[in-house]
Amino acid sequence: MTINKTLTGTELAVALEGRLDTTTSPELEASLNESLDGVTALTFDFAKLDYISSAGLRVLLSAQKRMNKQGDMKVVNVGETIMEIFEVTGFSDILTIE
Amino acid sequence: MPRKKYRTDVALLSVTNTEFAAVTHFHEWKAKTIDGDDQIYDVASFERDGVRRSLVHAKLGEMGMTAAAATAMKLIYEFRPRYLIMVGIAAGVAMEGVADQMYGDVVVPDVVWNYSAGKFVSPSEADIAFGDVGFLPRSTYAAIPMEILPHIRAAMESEENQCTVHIGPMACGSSVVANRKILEKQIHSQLSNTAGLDMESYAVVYAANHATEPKPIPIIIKSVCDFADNEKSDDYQKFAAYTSCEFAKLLYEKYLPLG
Repeated sequence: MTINKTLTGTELAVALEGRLDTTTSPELEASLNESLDGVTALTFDFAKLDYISSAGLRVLLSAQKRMNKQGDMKVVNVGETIMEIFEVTGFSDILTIE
Repeated sequence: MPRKKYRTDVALLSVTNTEFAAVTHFHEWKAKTIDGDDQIYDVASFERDGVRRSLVHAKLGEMGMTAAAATAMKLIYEFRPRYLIMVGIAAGVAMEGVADQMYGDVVVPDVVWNYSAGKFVSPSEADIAFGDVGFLPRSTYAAIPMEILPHIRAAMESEENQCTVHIGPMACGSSVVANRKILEKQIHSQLSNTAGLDMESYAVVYAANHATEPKPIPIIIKSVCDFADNEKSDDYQKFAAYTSCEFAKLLYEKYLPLG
């Protein structure tokens, strides 16, 4: 999985490419932990994300929990495969998806 | 006298519609009815090492230990499963320093216990007091067979596992809990390392352990959908039901010995 982060002021955009699963989610979690201080708007771009597992969803929940205290979080460019997973797991109701 | 043989590899139990939806997501099920029984069963199969294995599922008519024991017993006697697995949602109750739990984390108990068994008395006679009401707990316990735990650990440590899994005691009671004081006073005061809270697990394990031979091996796989406090909501029930069924599937399809 490739993680591309762009920080503009206090807005962080995180574009993911590949598969977010039990192998790659620790990398994303660590990357977010080192980047989220002072961030008030977090945007995940899933345009090039092929798959997300429960391990990846857990990282999103963790990020959402943190952003609830310091700002907003949204997910953009969600493809059909990922959206199906979001719907089965209820994430389509939990997250802000645009 | 020879022991009767198992006739089904795995039986699953669920309770709520959300849990049922998660169960149906992972297999192609066919409904099955039995003459004289108003329960609807669902049957499916999966392949392991070139052998077709059988699955059956039953959804409880209502929450709680009474429905769980009755349905578990019917499932056992009608299908004779090797494993009786209850999937679904539970409250996460681990204290700080015991485990850091999140929504969707899986709790697999090594022991289940009925914390709601006891006697209501005056506060002066009680171990636990809620204002003018005292409670003397007479908790009862049922253990998951020890020989199954290495297989559960192997599944949770495998690279295929996508879930965070906690092994620890599951407290079972007759009421939904949305008050942290119940956890502190009635549950953690009795068993401080309790990791989960539900309303059926004790009955399912009891039914399996007290069935006639061949007894099924009971396994409870429930995921955290809330923390039994006043912030309790239904928002994470779908995710919790999903991870519970996902880990159960990994366990029975790849790690449990099926004979």
